[in-house]
Amino acid sequence: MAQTDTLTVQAVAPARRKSFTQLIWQSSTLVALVVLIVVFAIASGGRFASPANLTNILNAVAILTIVAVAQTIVMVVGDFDLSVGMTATMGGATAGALQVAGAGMAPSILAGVAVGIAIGAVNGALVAFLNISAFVATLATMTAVGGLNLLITDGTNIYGWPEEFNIVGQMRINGIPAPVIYAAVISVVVWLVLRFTTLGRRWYAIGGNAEVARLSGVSVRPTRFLAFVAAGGLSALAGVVLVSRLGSAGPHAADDRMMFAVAAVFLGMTLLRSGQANIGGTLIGVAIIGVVQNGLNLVGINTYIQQVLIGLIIIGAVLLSGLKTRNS
Amino acid sequence: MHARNPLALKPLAAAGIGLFAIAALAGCSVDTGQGGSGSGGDTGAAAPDKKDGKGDDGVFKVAAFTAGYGTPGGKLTLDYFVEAGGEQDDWEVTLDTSEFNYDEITTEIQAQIQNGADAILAGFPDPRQTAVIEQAAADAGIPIFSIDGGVEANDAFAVDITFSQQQMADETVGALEEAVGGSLEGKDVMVIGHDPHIGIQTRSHLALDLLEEKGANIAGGEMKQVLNPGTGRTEALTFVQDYLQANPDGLDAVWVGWDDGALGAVKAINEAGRDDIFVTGVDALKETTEEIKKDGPMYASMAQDWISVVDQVIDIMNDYRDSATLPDENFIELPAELIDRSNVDSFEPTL
Repeated sequence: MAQTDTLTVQAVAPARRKSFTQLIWQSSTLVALVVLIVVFAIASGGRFASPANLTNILNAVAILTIVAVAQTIVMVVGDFDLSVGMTATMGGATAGALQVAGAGMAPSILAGVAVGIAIGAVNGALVAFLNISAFVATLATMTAVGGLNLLITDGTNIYGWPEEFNIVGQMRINGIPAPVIYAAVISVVVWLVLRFTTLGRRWYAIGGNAEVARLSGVSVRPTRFLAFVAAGGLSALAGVVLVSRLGSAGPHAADDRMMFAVAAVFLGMTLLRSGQANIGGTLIGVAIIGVVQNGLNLVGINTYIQQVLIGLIIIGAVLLSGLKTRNS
Repeated sequence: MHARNPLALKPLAAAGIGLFAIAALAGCSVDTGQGGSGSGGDTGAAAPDKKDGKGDDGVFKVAAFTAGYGTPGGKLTLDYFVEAGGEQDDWEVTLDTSEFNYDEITTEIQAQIQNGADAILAGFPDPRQTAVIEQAAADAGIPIFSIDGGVEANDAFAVDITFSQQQMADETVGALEEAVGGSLEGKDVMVIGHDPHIGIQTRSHLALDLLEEKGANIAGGEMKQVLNPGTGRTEALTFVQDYLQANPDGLDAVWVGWDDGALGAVKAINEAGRDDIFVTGVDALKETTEEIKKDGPMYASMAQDWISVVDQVIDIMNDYRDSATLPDENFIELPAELIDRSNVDSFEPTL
């Protein structure tokens, strides 16, 4: 007699839809951004939400956006890059110095970005191949690059390049400042890379668990190295756009972008249950920083208090993220 | 046979080390750096028992320092001092620099003093952070000569030569008054400063008072503070841009305590397409003079001739080198020069 095996399938309860409260809880950082916009719109008598002011905010955070996207890549692989701000300064200073010395605009810009790629390569080599902690390695390169910036600029501002270079950072297309367009394009491209390419998946895999990634066949060291190279190149590009916008290249022009970039990425990480760095979240984080700075300026709060408030917002966001992770 | 218990040895070893340490420390003296003897700082007098300022080896060792080497004025001035000082008879000049890190500078100058420096040149020191250096110099009996070391006389300095903050505030506010049509009454003026820098702090608060006395309305109700001088241009640009956004017709002028910030304000005004808002700064950078020549928002700046200050300090130090004599006056305030549209073409910027 034929033997038959009966396959029993456990009944599976249908997936429960998230309640509205749960949705709000999960996207609390985004909700915070909306609340901030509403508060400042009211406090500024409507001026905050005008198209011109919103354009101003986007223009003000465009450089930060590019640097924060660079930082996001490195944090996706589970590392950290303290040198992004100094690298941005150096990219801009290099491009500016070369143009003042007579080099053409295109070669100067390429050289500026190449310098950033080289710094990223140094970081990547130290972290990925020599196994030095990312914090220590990038702290060292940050220090060295800061000194190089002073050497390149001779401690002062470089200016006096051909006017065509200023157009790169100062032109507007349909009323939208060029830096905003660059930041948007770069954000989309990096998001596409992270989301849809093998490289992006490998970066996330390494960030999730490097050992598992390695056992799964990912070449961890070269892939991690590439993350730093990409971050360096993007940071330097941000610096090139910055000096074009300002019309001069100083020895510290973009140094402060590092801390705000880190803050933006951390704010963005709170949007995902996994707590992973992500481009969308970073953009929300940048928006929060830009909205707070602009809104407080409009209502006349002084810069010292602004610093305190931005710090408190970051603490609040990260605590909230921790609470969400524990509850889930 | 009983084995010695190694664990029992540990307390004995610790006690032994402790006793040794106490004995060693008992022989140490502690210098808190808060008190001591020294003849530095006396003005108009020769150091006791000294016929000249040189060391026993006949060399006049000068330890120069600045924590502001990363600024255009700081670098230019100290580089020139080292170059010019090196050309003086019997001089040996060393230069220690840092980026506003007084902890580092203090350690380096203390080492220079211990290595036999005969005089100290303080370049753009922040007098609020040089107490330890002053004490070390006083203890060693060597004078401190200073360039732009504060806004008032400092008894710890044999001499300090600087430019008058009051005069700079007066002249720049006067220039703004001229730019807006002859009267600041009812005009909206933004004041941008950076209080951690003592010179900028002094002149910006003097300017603020002066503007209020002349009836100006201070935009935003108070002085705007730049947080980081390295990004001062961007911060000033953002202040003016955001203010114009909130008050499209509400700004007539911007007073800024230094040129880099002023140039940021100029950029914001140009981006807004305005030609009726005027800006003044201080430093008269080459970049600033080119903006002034454009007859745009940048209206005037103050030029401080640091080269002539260095020459004057070197003369005073040579007197000390030759006869150990210190000047009668230990605080010399020089007038800066207002550079505006009337004289910018004939002005040669050094920064």
